[in-house]
Amino acid sequence: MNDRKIIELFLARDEEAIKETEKKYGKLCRYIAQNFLASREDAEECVNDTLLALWNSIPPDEPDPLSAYISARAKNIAISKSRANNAWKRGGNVQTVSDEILSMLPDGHTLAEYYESRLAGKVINDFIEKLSKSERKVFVLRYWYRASDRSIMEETGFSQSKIKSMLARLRARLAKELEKEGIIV
Amino acid sequence: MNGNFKDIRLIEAFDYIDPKYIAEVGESLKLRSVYAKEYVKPTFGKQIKQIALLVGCLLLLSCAFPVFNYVLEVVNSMAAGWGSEATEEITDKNDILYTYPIFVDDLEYLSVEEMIKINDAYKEYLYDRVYRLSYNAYIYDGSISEEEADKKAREDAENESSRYDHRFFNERWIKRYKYYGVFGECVVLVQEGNLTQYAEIVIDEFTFAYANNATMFAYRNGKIYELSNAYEMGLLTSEDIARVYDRYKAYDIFERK
Repeated sequence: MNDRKIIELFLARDEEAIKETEKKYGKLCRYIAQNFLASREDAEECVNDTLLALWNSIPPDEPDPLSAYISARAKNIAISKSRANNAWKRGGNVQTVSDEILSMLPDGHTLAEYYESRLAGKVINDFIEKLSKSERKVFVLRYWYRASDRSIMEETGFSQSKIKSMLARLRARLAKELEKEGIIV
Repeated sequence: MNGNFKDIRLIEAFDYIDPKYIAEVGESLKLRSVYAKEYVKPTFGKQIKQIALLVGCLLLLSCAFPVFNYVLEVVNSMAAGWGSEATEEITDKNDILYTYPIFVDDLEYLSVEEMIKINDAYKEYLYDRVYRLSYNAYIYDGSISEEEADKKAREDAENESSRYDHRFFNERWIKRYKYYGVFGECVVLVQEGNLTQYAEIVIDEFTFAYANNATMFAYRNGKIYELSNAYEMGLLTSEDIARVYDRYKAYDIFERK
């Protein structure tokens, strides 16, 4: 079933919408939840909460693309759950990825006072636009989906060392872009 | 505003990645790792038993030196026998028995030629796996391209792996394949491993657990596919997986209690 039809089911308050969403995007939600949460039970609960959140928010929302909307919902719920469980350091890759991002800030440097995350996000999007398809996949998987090296390896078919070196190069390039735009000072 | 707050803004900035990129990546995922987990079986008790057994044997041997000498001779002769068997090359294919004939009652088994073909494909698969899991030092050499670095790393992995061919890809190795049957166009097998750790994989709601250094795989047209891959690629249907699971339940000793 295509995304438009699923949204129409939600708009008509048809419970079939939940079934169809679970069928099409359940696995994606589980994947995201697993990246943030330690236990399978928590991940499963996160999927159910995501489906409930979709039921409550469509309508009024009519998201396009639906997959990004569901991913964002699942990610936010997984983050809240992981914070609630005090499992920030135990589950998934959250701490590792956060450390990697912060490593882009050279010692004694920080973000310019007037810059908000959203503005820095715009520079990151411009940077992603310039990447090749495979680089973009690795970058987004790591820094938005918070995927582990192993999971990226399985998704892309690259070796672990190639992924590590590719990410290191991309971080260095992005740090330069951020400095050029005056975001890192 | 403290320093930490400023730092966190950079992490938050990554949450503003454009939804079109999130959708593009999300829709391209194969999601084969979802819910595949490894479990470690506690082996402490087993180790204690092994140590006790070893100490017992040593005491026994030290008490009876002539007997010890005799045992040593026997062990040496047996080891020599095993070595020659293990390094023996496959010369006459008809000498090899059927693979582990767990369905011999149903007269369902693979021919020797088929088994050798599968073994060759499995060798290629293992070489490829060694390459993928190996550390590629060439990638840091600025004088060569990434493709060349990958090629060199693959050659290294193949050379390293082929050193052990005589120990693995022989008659004894072939007999350790456990055969589950032919489903669609796929032959489903598992290469038995030592039961020290469990790997558990869920395919279409069926949970398969087996020794983690064993691999459950499907063979089709000269290629080896991990079972979950074969299912996701449509080479095996849900009904096939259900039938594999029936056989797994009936015959496999690795099932978790």
